[in-house]
Amino acid sequence: MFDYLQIGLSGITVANQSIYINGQNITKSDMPQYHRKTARLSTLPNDNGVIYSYTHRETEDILQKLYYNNLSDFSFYDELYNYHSLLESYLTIGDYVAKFNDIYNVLSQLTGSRYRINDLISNMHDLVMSIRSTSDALDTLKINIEHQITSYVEQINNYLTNLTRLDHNLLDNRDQILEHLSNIMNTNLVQTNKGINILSDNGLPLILDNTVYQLKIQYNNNNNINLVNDIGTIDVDSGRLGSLIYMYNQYIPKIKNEINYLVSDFIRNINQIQATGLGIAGEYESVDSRIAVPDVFAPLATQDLPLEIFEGDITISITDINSSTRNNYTFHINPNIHSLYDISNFLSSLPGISASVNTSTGLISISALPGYKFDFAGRDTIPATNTPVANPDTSGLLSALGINGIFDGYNADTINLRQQFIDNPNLFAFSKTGEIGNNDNIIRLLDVFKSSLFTQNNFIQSMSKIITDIGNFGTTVTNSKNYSKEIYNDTYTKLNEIIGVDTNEEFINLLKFQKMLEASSKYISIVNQTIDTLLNMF
Amino acid sequence: MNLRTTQLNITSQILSQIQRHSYTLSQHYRDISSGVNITRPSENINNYNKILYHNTESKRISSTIDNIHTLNNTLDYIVNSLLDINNVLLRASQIASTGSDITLDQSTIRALADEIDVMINNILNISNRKMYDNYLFSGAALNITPFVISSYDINGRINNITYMGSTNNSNAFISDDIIIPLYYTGNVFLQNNGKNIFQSLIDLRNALLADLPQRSSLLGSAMQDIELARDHITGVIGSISSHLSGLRSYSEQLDKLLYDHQVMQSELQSTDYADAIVRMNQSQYLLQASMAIIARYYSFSFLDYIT
Repeated sequence: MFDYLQIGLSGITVANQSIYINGQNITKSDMPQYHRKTARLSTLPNDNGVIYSYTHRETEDILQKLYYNNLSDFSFYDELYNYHSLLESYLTIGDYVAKFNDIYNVLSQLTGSRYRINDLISNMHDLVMSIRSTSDALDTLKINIEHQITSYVEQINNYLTNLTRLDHNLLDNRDQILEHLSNIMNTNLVQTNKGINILSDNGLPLILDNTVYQLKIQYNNNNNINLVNDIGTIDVDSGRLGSLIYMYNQYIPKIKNEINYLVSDFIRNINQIQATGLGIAGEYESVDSRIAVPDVFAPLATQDLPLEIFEGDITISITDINSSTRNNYTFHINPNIHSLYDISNFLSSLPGISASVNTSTGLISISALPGYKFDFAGRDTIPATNTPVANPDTSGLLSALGINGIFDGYNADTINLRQQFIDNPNLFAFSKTGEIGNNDNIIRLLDVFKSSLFTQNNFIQSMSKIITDIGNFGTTVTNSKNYSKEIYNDTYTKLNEIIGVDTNEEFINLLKFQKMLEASSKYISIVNQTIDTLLNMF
Repeated sequence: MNLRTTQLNITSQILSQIQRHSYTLSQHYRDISSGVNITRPSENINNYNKILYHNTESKRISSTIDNIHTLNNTLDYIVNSLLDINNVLLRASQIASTGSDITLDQSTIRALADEIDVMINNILNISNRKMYDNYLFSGAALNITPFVISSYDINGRINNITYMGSTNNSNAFISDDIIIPLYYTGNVFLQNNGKNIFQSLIDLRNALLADLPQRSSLLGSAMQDIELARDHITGVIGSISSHLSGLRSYSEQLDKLLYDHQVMQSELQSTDYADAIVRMNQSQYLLQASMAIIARYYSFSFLDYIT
């Protein structure tokens, strides 16, 4: 009979424990990665009541893994979207097009009257500022991304360390950490007898048998970021970290290269036309190069110059002021053979000018001797021999060395409008003859907007192509973000439907266990009364 | 499998909806307040490129129209100057005709010769006219006085006028396909027989001052030169006028084209207020509904039914 009391007691004990687990479920129902728990009961030996057997933790491993993967995918596109939006805000490429147009329009109006010369200077200055600010913005964005990557790597290392410190009973905490980790990069969890293993997407261990292999940032020769640990190089192409590494290593350099290519071509065209024309200030007494050649004695082709020098001819016209005569001299340049020093020697051998090379700076200076002046406009000789030169520099040497250009520099980082043109607009070589009303060089400048001298590109169309690429990429990222968010949300919902807590269900269970407790108590009370009745019989 | 409706799911779904509606609402606010519905390429790359294209074309066309207006002023002034010269030459022709009357006395002849001298100075002044500080007839050498007196005769009369300007016209850019001469060289004053207008007038004056036996034949020859000069000037006026007329008609076409580009750009870029306001209201209702749902969800629970 006393066994009956044991049965009642077991009911009360189990109901108590179940209510305790109920309480855990209800209070943690809003906790991410909390897995619903259920008390699993079994029968006591000899049918002597019920006993709490273990706490069952709801799991769905495949869905859980899918959830982490989908979270990584969504985080990748979400981060990409955020930084691409920033990049689009920084890049005022639409302004480039407007400024190219402004310069084109002012140039065309200068053929009618020079009264807008100051507008040309201010538009060129605006374009330079716009290009430089874009370039600076891209650099700043890269620096910010680098900081963020560093921060994510630190977080990953902390998460990895914490994972190895977790007690095996704290599985919800483990899953929470794995969720945080998946937000930053996708990983693969393998549970073994020896402990937890976490592998990267390319299969390299981040945790092996409970030993953490901490991530480190490494820079390669191209200044690209690689993530490494003591085992090898970790591929990260998912999660927020994957997105940032893609932006840092590939996307921003790609955009910058495209802008640099365009700006470099633009600078070169304008400088080449300027160098082979004449302003109303007339011929030159001296000019200096602005782009250094590292080894002035080595062939130019070996010097890795930012702007290529082609095999071709350069013609210099030397004017004797006293006798009013002008002679043309042509030098064939083969960049595979000729050095800067060779060019200097050739120029120095001509009557009326001298040239010198500064071996420490890698720059060349050309000066007219007293009574002489020179230019590269390719005009006919005086007296006339009907031998004007249509293209006085087929080698592109003048623009490649930055001789007598309007712009300093050779790309978006280095472009600058030379101060001497701001101070003295008469230096703009609008003509091929030096006459104030000769507009031949302006018309050449206008032509390069349609087709570059060196690449046959159309600047406006090239700019539009960059914009289209950026726009298309932004659209793709936005769509991918929305799509991956749908999938992520769906997986999240499905996973929660299985492992999560339905508070209504818990309340009903609470009532159930309350009733169990009450019933067990009542049962004990009845058994007690029965025993009392039996004992009172004696 | 017994699937559950969890609080986490409900919260995250409603939160997601609220975020989406809030974002859409903010986009509509932006469109309405700025009047522009595309600010970044990724918002609509096709329209963004079209906007850039229309913007570029509008600017180009505006610039071409500006160029044409500026050039029109100069070319009008050149035509007016040439008409002035033509009038002078007409008077010179009349003088030559009058001078061939052998009954005229010497003082009248001398007065006519003096009038020719005034005309020479007059045409010299006209041919050295400036516009925007540029000489009209100096070709590309805009800053060089085109015609200068190079010699006088023993009586102090102009004997020779030399052209000092460029041998090349100063060409102006209208558009990619149209480049026209704007400032002409002194060739404008060079008639078909190789003489220039000044020389023809000087010859006329000298013919008037010549003694009678030769005067008639010299005047006859001078009259022919003057007529050639007039024909030449008339030809140049006709050529420039046809340029002007062509440019005016081109400018009118461009005005229409510019309007079309501006309209198309505006259609692509500007906010359609009726559409944006309706959509904004729709987003507002959706946002309010989402908030109402979450409020309703948290306002009751199963606990309310447990007593």
